Amino acid sequence: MMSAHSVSPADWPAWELRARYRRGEVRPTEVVRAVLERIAAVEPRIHAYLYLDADAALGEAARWDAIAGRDDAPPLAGVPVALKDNLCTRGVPTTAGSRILDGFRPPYDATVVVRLRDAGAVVLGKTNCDEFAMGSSTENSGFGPTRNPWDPTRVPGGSSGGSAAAVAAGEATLALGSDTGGSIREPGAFCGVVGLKPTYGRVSRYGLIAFASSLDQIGPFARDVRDAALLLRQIAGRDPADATSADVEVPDYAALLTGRVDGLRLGVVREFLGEGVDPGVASAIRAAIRTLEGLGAQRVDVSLPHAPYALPAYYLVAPAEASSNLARYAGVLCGRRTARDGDLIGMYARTRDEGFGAEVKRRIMLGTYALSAGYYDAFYLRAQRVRELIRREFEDALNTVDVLVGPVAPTPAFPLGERVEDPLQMYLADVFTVPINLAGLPGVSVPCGFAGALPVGLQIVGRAFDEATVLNVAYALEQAIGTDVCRPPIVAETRSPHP
Amino acid sequence: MFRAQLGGILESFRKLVELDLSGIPPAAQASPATGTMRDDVPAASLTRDEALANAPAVEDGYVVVPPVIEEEGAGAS
Repeated sequence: MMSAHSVSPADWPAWELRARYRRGEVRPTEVVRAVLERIAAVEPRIHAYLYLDADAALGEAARWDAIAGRDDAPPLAGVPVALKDNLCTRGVPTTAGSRILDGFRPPYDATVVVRLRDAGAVVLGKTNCDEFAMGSSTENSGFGPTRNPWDPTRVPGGSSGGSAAAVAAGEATLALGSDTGGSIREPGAFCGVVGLKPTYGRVSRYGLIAFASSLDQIGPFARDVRDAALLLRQIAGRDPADATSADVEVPDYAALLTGRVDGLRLGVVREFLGEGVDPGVASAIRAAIRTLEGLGAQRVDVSLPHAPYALPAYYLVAPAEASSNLARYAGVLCGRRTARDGDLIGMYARTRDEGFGAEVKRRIMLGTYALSAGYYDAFYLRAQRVRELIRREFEDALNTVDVLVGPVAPTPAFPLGERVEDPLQMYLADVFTVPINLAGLPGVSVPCGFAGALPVGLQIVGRAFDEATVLNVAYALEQAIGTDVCRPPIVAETRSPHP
Repeated sequence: MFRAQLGGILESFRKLVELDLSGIPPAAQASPATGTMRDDVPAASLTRDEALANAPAVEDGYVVVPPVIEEEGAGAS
């Protein structure tokens, strides 16, 4: 029987690649080639990528072949990464999953992309997502859905489903996503990988195609917590190009992973384990909490009575911001324009009608309605007050405990097509993740077990800018559970050429 | 289709009306912006050609759109 670590470099974490580069056991071009082989093997069933440039990736990798093994090599030298397609990449197609941006090649790189390149990462390509990051299943992509590597009849979660699926299936070592209401944590949970939404302001949003600017954050996907910590450190920190990026010191997150949680006050949120949570999910979450207690964490039951109001508040605030942000797609400065004749206003309308998908149209209508005279006070302003109420409630809770825990989503990955006709059911997938965006706090999804054959993620939420504690609690759990169990069957299939 | 869906969504949001929000100010974002402005120093920017490279229709360095003002009988501008 082969050991899980002897087969393909596509399955090694970034920290292990670095160690092997140093020992001269493998070179970046060999790793990138292994990842490209994996992509060729599984992509027809997964569809994680919207754009892949194998030649460019191999070219970049070759530049690192002579350097990646040196002591002074940058931290991610020769590590293959995938980027969610709402991150601008200079000269490389960027659609945010929307037909309206078909053909768009940004004239600049997002700050996170610049930082990854400076850190030596090798960009493989752009990953699929719900259109403009609006969705919880990646089914709202204008270019077809991504499928879950654990079960291709099910969704990978969304909106960053392509990035989550790519990391889960060994189609990338690391990936970036964005999280406005759960779009990193939910696909992380559904695909059995680590997904972190940093504190609002932790990571520059410059070059992220905006959905809801007061909620959007870019964050890492990785197959283990150490890798997520390494990636976060490279992308975090003040950026003069984003006025909302915070001037707060960025610690060496990986060096702070002790795995020790004795004495840590673990707040278990009552409202997150109530009715409507799948029994398999609830039992995996309870087991994870017991594991952390067994490691010395002190369980404290916490109530957040207003958390259930976060979903409607979020689905008013986020669409309101989106309706403003998306007004720029009018067929004038970038993207596609309708081929039909007409006057200027007609051209705008037809361009949007042809270019936007149904969910984006729903949210623009919802947002403009919530902002319109006569409804502004009843909907938008009220939602913003609820946001403040929720923010205070989380702040108070986190004054008495060190982290809050609960499920990432009420169910494991659901079947493709199950919720596309029922937007409200789709929104319910976000019920435990949106409050954290409204409060601006950091939250991680870490694999904690299974519901049947599908992975379950534990959500760990911390104080503003305290990603270090959130990651360390995740690390403690991961050390107790082990990471080898959490690889989808599709990976094992690629290892047996004669099934 | 949209009318029924949006009606149902808004109906489910009515639970926000239950809440007593007196004394709670609206929050536009979680952390109030702390005035972290960058220094006002000129820096390199996109060239005109780069800025226009993605526009669907361009002529002589301008974006082309359908006529806004009718040619015949146009009033004083």
